[in-house]
Amino acid sequence: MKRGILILIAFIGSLILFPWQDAGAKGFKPLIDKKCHLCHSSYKSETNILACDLEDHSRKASLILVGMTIGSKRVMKLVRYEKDVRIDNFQDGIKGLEGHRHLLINYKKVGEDLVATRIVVKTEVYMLEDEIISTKELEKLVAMGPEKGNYTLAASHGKATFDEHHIPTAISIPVFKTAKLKHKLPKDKEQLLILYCDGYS
Amino acid sequence: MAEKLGYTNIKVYTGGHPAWSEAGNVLLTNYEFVSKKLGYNIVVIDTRDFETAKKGHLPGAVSIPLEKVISKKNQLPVDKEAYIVLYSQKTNLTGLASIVKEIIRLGYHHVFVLNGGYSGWLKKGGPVKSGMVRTEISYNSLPRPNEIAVDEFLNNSKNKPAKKLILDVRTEAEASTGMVENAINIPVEDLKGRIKELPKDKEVITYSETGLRAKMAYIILRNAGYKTRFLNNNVAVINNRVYCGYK
Repeated sequence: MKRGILILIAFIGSLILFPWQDAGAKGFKPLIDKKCHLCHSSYKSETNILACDLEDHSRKASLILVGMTIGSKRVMKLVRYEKDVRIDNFQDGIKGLEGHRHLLINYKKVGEDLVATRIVVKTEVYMLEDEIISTKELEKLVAMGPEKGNYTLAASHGKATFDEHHIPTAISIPVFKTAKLKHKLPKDKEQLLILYCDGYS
Repeated sequence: MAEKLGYTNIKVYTGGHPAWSEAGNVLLTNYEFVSKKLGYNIVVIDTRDFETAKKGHLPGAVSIPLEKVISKKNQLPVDKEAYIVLYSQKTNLTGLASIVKEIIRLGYHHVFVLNGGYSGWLKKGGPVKSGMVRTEISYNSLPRPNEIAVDEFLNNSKNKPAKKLILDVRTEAEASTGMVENAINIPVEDLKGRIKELPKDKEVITYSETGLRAKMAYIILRNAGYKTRFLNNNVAVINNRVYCGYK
């Protein structure tokens, strides 16, 4: 009898804590691109989300193809959307969605399909003015070169991406190997150190 | 991370390389990348003068002196995903900047300058050729992994091999105007629900109007354990004739 009451309390408690879920129904575990973990540690405790890159968008089929790197694997998912899907941080509406974008997608599962309930287009991360360097300033430094400009430019993405393309004068310091590669960073800890990758969000 | 290591003067270039490139700046590519990519969906342009290029150039490179590159822009591949790599004797940022900018403006997504130029290539021990050098741009569009070449696709359609199935993933309305011979139609938006209609023992080759939905269908099929490839080319069916756009 006592146990029955405890279960009942737990059941009601779960309804209060997770009112958006059916009692007992667990959501799907989140799929998060590894770069998103760096700042968004809360994503991993959420359900039914994709933190991903936009790969392709078919307006005719109302489908978007998204990708996320999880461990060393690239996972691809197709997400369907309804015309009136909520899209945040983006003025052109869902049909205008294209290009190089980082997305946070909330979805529900309908049959076999993932259907977006909300799409957030991630904008550049908010940082203090003095922590950011603009394209113009960086252009000036790169034109001078690291010695005269007294800076180190470090590309934070992986070595394969760096080999494919990088900003002139950059060195490759993949963010997940920073500690291992610290000998490549300048000895002078007061020297200007500039970090970049494929856009932060 | 860098703060933890004790750096006190850190700035972040938040726009990253997309912003850098959009502002019309040059991105460099490395020997490691280009040497693997040679001959495969890439155009390599030797921008030194013709006589110098004849003495030694990257295998498959086309010789177009710096000042003439833009006048040959019509020869650039139709495929905007093509890699276009330019080089001079050394890393020549200022000389090549305006050309790179113009090619990016034409819609190409992967336009890079070879870091170190020809000298850097030699230092790395990269392969070179001498004697004849091409002066007209040509582009070998090998299908990327998981894509099917146009010729093979058309052959499969004509000869209907037992182990292959061609799947039209356009809408029913589009398919009703005409399909590739021997294809069946399941719109990509219905594919997950109807996937059981497809035999697992055949390779499923998908196509759509531009290749975009074909790629999406390919991913659905792959995730479901099918052997599959897709046609990454334009397909138009006019009066029961199939026209495939070569890339």
